[in-house]
Amino acid sequence: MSALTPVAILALALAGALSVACLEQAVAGVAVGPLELVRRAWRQVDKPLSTPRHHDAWLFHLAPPLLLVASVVALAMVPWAPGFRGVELTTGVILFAGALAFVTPAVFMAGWGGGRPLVVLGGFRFVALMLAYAMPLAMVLTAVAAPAESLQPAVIVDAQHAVPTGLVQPLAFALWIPAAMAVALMAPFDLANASEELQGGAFGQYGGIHAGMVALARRILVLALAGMTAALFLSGWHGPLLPPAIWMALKTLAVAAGMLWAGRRFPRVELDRLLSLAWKFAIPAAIGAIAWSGLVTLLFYA
Amino acid sequence: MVVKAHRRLVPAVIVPDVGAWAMWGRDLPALGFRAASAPEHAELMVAPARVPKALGEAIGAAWARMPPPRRHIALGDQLADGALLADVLAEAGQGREPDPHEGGHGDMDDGDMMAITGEPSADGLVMEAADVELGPLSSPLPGGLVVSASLDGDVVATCTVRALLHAPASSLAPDPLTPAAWSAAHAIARGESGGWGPRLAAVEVERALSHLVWLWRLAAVLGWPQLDVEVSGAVGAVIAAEHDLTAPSRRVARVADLLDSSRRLRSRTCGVGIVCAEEAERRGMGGPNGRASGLAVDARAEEPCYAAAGFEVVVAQDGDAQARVLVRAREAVQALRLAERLREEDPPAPAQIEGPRGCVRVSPAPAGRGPSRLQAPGAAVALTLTGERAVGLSWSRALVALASFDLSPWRVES
Repeated sequence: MSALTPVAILALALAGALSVACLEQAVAGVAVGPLELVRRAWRQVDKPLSTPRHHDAWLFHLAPPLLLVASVVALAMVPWAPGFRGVELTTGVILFAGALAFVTPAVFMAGWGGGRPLVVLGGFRFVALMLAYAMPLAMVLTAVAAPAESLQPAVIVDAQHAVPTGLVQPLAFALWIPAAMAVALMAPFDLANASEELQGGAFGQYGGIHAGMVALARRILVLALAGMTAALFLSGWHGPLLPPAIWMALKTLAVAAGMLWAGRRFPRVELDRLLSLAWKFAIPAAIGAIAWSGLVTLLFYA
Repeated sequence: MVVKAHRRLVPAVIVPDVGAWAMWGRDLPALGFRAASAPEHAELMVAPARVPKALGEAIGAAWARMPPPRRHIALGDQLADGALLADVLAEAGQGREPDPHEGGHGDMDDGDMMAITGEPSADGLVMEAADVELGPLSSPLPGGLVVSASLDGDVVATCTVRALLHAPASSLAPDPLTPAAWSAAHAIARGESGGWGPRLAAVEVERALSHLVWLWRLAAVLGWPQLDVEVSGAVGAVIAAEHDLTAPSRRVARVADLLDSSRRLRSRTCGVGIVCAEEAERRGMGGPNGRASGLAVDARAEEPCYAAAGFEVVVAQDGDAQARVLVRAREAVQALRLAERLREEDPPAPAQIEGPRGCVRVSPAPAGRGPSRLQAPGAAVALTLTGERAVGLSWSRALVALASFDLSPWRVES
């Protein structure tokens, strides 16, 4: 990691968030140029802040920065190319999961600080959802790390030079995608910010730069999760002919586009259904994924 | 996937709501406006020049929550009765700023109060109760409808649905959302014998539009962007169609196809808010809601001109939200087909008019003096039943149940 890495990650966060925003519009069937999106973002940021008068206003003000920090830390763990591996730690995967864990308090603080009953309900929904899905998420990360015998994302990418993990461990991949979408507050798992149901949802009452931070953080989260999915399951920068960074960018964009597309095709899933799916199916299945990963590791990787 | 260049839609607080404007022939998304998710995100307020008095307080509260620079525009004079929008906003500007923690809502004393209390959550856990209020503005339900519920955790323990709006006795259409049906009912009362082809065709187009607008709201409640886009396109096509109904028919058929075979729809609507046939009959539920419960109640079934145009009553048996969706989707397709046939003919006057939400009747005043008596049987029953059906469901299911009944925010005598 050089001194320039943090600067590069911040630049990537801004450029990536803009690309995700463009992708969102394209998936919705609308062509909007990046300049127009920047102009709209500026319009948003230029507005005054809104403040709830009672309740815990400091929670309300603290939630957007916390969400932003969590998303940038998660992004920093993603290995993008052999020459640009983000912040390289031997426990990068754990820190990635740790950063995602901070999304939960951020959403809950936003909901609680908002003070309206339905908005608080949005915060509670997210806590319930993440209590259920944090476990399969972490277990899937364990399963993916086993063949590489490392928790370092770049090492896990290199372990897939022959076959992508998504093919070797399809169950882990299938469990990861919905859980990742739920963490990133993406439809159809956007129960916490279901604006029609919850009078705007957990982030519905933010205005001005707060709303801008939330919008930015959510897009960075999508980028980080799509990038990590490409790295952990789709063999990251490995690929023929094209330069490694291009492969990684293409895979990341494809994952993000797929997740955004699914969000438009399906109605929002009910909380009860998601929770029973998590506790009754996803967690036992994640144990199965770990067992399968162990078997595969012993037979083919060790 | 069609990608088209798009100008920015201005987020707005829309009074009463996007659907009502569609019923009045204004396609707001095509005009460049969309409903903001909360007044805090709105730049503009779009309202008729005169707004119903019952909405005055809610409009003031929404205006106070809108960040500067905020603007308002009056789009037209659809509601003859009511206070001037500019006066309402000026009053809101002078008065105290409404507390953001009070859900801004209309006059509590106005409207039919129907409190229903039921058993709290089935799991028996004791939760902290919370009172929530949805509407009358910026909600997925029709503007002017207020849902007051107390939640036990996220399960609805009590639910009250009120229709705030009431047209003055002198107005011809007690429900301004279905003007064609009421004008046809008045024509029957006046004993008019000519011009029924175009008149009945207008009623059928209105039915298709009303069902689509309802589906649009349901798409918002379900959080289903694909359905929202399809329905929004169909609504725009019906509004834009002058004479040729081929293009709107195709779009409406596409919406019906999407719903007909959809497991995605089933996952959210199957078994929600069931009204069985026996109960529907006992309580006098009419219109598409009654037909979704298996009752073949339709004033059009008795009319020879409809039979000649190939009309068959659309009925479903399950009585749940899914049945109500499918009945309305098929009726919308059927209505445009009927409109095309009826327009060319010159049938005799029908005995009764079946409006989009059920039968509408105009009885001439006794001795020919005073206003005529306007009735919409089954409208009040729908309000009560809806509140009852929401009790015991989780909030998101309760909203689906509430939205599935297609309530009108305008009160008409039953």
